[in-house]
Amino acid sequence: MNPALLIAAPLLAAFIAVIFKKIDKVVLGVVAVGNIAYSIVMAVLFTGATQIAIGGFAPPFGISLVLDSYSLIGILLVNVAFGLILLMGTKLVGRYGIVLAVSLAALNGIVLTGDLFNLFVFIEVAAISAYIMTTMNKQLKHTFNYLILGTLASGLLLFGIAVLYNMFGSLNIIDIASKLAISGVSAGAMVLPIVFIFAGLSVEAKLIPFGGWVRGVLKKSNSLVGPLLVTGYAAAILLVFGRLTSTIFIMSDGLKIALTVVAVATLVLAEFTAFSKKNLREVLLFSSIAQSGLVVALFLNGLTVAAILVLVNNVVSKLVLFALSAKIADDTGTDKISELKGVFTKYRVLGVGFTIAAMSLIGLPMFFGFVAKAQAVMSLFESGNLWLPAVILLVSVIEGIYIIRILTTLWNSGKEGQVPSKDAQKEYKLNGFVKVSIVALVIGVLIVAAGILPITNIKEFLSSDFLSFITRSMGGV
Amino acid sequence: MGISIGVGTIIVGLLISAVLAYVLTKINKTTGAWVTVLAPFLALAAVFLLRDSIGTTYSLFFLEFELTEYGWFFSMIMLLVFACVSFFNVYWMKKMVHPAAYNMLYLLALTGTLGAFMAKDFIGLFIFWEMIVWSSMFIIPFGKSRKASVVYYAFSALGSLAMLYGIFYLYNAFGSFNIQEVLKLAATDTTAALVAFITIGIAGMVKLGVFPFHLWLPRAHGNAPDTFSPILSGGLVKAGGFAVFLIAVVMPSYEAFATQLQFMGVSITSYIFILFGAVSIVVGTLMAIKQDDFKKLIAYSSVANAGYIIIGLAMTDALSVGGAFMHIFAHALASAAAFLAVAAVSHRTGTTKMSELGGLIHRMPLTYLVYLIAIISMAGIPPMAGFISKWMLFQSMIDNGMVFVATAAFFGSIGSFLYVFRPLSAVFLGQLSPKHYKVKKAPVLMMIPMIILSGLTVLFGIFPNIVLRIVSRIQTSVGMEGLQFDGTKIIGSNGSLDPTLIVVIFGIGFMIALVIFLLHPKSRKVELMDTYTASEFIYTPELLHYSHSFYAPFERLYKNAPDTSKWYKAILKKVSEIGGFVSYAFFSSKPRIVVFWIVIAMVALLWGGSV
Repeated sequence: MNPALLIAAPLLAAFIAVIFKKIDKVVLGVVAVGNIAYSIVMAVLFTGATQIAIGGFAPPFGISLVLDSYSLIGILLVNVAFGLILLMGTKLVGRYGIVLAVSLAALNGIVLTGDLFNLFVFIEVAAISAYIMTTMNKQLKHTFNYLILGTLASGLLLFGIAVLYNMFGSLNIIDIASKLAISGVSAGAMVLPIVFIFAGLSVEAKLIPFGGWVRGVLKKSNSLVGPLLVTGYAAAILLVFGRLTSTIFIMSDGLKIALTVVAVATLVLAEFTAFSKKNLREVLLFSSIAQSGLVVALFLNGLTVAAILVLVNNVVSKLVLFALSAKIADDTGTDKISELKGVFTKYRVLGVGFTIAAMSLIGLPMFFGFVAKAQAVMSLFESGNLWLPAVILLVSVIEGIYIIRILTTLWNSGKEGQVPSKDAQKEYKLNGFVKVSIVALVIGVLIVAAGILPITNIKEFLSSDFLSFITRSMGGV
Repeated sequence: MGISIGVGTIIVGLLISAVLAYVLTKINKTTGAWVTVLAPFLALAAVFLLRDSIGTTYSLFFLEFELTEYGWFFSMIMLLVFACVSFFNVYWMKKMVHPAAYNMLYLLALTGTLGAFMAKDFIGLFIFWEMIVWSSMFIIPFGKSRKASVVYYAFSALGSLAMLYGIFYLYNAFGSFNIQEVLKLAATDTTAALVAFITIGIAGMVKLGVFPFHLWLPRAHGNAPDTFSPILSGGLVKAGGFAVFLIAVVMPSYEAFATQLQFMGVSITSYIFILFGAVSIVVGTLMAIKQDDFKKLIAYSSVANAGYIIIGLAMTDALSVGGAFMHIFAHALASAAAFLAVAAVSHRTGTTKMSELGGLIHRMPLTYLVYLIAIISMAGIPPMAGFISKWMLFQSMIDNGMVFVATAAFFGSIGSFLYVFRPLSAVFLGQLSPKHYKVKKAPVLMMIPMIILSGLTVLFGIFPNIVLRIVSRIQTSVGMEGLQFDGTKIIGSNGSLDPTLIVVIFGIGFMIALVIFLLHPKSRKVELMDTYTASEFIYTPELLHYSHSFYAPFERLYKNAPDTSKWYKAILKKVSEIGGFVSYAFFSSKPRIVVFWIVIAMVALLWGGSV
């Protein structure tokens, strides 16, 4: 099974769509479904980690793709998220079919590639498609802002990669990792490239203070672009973090602490900011930033499994939350929480899907989020870290407060101090909510299933083959 | 019998009935409400029958349950409260926007409590503990306030996440989630014991509503639907007692902290918990006195009573723990009954504001009687169950020489006379407001649970040993000394109490008073508006009621006392301000500002990395 198809197919689709403009949506749909199916087949037939050479050059000389359990989770996550977002926002595709196809190719490339320069190229392609897509929001100033910062980020990333190439004469991640092990390069020498790569990636991963573009771009984004940037893009970039921290980021203690401080500060400050916001999408975007911070903090501490679980939880729940919020905002003209009192009274299925996703996000037991949170806290304890679990749990309280504030408001109409009544109900009208509701509900059912099954024996689950499988074959090529 | 009833069956049965209640309510509201009446009754019978199989473990799919003596006791209290309150649901269906969801969540909350009390491992405990939180969190906004639910969740999350920290800390230290096993191991390791005591203790304090975590009670209890306030106050907060019992007695804290500084017979850690209890009593009492809303008043009284419970549990001697258990039981009965009386009044008059009520004894005499019995028990006056528990707690406090705590407790007892008599006067006594001339007495179905609860309060006030023998077995089951009895007498450390004798004397006194009352000429009834107003027209007849501004002079004494809610508001305001600053400074729409921060951050990282 050649994973290159996941990248090639969407690219081909983009070319076809350029020529046959009228069928671009069909082509895009076929490719999105095909990618999901193909990645599932690859997951089923997966036997062991392999490095696939492209163009007949054996690694480390040519470009190579890495197919291991880690990238497998990545492509499943990215393609399924992409497919679902497309399904919910089909109507919004409009003239952006080509860009979407290109972005799908780039996201798969980011997750799969084993080559640093190739990674840079894919990130560039993904970023450029993102700039174009964000013009859909008709907030050109913010798109421009994103463009400038994204370009700066590419520059930083490229500089970091160049330094690494200068040091090791290679761009292949696995090759660099093995050379690092043999040559015994001091951690001090790695500070420069690591900081530049970290900064470059952080702009896209939205860490504070790097991701300054996020608020402007996402707070008014529609139900196609917003969820895509929050889930697919965030997942791909964060997985790159994980890939690099576990292979070539040989960090001195000082650097590890410094980077962890950035990640944890992002977690805390972004949760605080989300708490201070009054609009649905703004709350959710800051919550995503916070989760990115948490994922990066876990990766930096070498807790890959926990980081992936937290990432998956965030992607799945944010997918629903952001898509539904943007949908509500598109149709009602506002996403101010206080103006959406009792909106779920009429759209109950929508509400149930939203509620399950929200409860998973804050990590209540019986939802997948609890498994992720439990794994994060438990593995941090195991690594002897007693303060980070306390920070994670304390900010969960803040997170819980703003999420519950949303839920109680959206479920109940009526003024504060009065019992909700049907008469006080404001009329809301959502167009074509059935499809969105069904997707939300199906994801909700999956979240609950994935939340209940692992706790069947959480102790064994968390040390099970299934999870160690993620790390076992990682980089073991 | 094909199916043997076990804890697993009960839990599954309740879960199924929750779904059933949802579906049936969609079809017919009343039918659905009857499911919420039947299910707790069946579960009550089933758990009662499990009395003989205490010590058995059950498994349900992946969850392990163990029926312990104390788990059984707590479950029985909870089921009793749920079963009694559920009659009221039938009358409230028409008033709700989400009746089906209410019925389902109501039964899920019950499932959560039973699961938490019977869980064998901490993961199970935590799952069910959170189930209580989120099911009630969705019910509370069906009442008068959405904010109340957020406040409730905020405090609950603080507690449960503290507990989660403790659970994983203990798991990391001892490699097990089994409650009994881990707690016994923790008792041998002072640091682990301290972490467990503080984290799980905070969870318990939050649930019980002990100062400084008490602010959710008046908001949640005061604004929840009238049918759910008795569940919160009589039932769910008692789960906090369960958590405190685990770390104080099951662990046991007196062994774990034996090497700590001992203070008035307890370790310093326990003493700090006891002090929080004492502060709760004072704060709860003072705040209850000045409430105008009937429900908020009882909510604050629950804060005060939570103080007694935590003091009793943290003192960890036979009499105090026995007293705490008796108090949990007595207070559950009394506060559920009191809240039900409020609900009945609210059902008939549409308000819970005391200043708008008055003289309802003429229209709702039985409800008045139920309320009277409940408050006598809450104030700790014989012959009610609340007197027995307070007597035991006072004995223990005096025995340990805890002067400050005992002062607070006595203050709370006297203060409770003040706050329980306020609703009595304002709602039931005095003259009837003209608005309520047409009020009818409470419906029969509402009377049944109220009479059951009142009857039990009196019964266990006269024969407390029925309960105390169970409590004594609980105490021996966790390895501490049990309570001592001598016939109907309870043996205390410096005296003994014979409740039955007290009741006889009390009865004689009551008869004499009754005879005097009957022999005297009857007083003339005066209507509220039957007064001389010098041709002023009266717009608000309530002002003429004698209980208007009842304790105004007393309230003035502490009107400037610090308000705890301001602390939390200040914290959240700061959080919000920091958030606003972050949003302004780091997420500017001007790229140059972001670039500036990126440069600063990179310089800092490079510097940090080279250290």
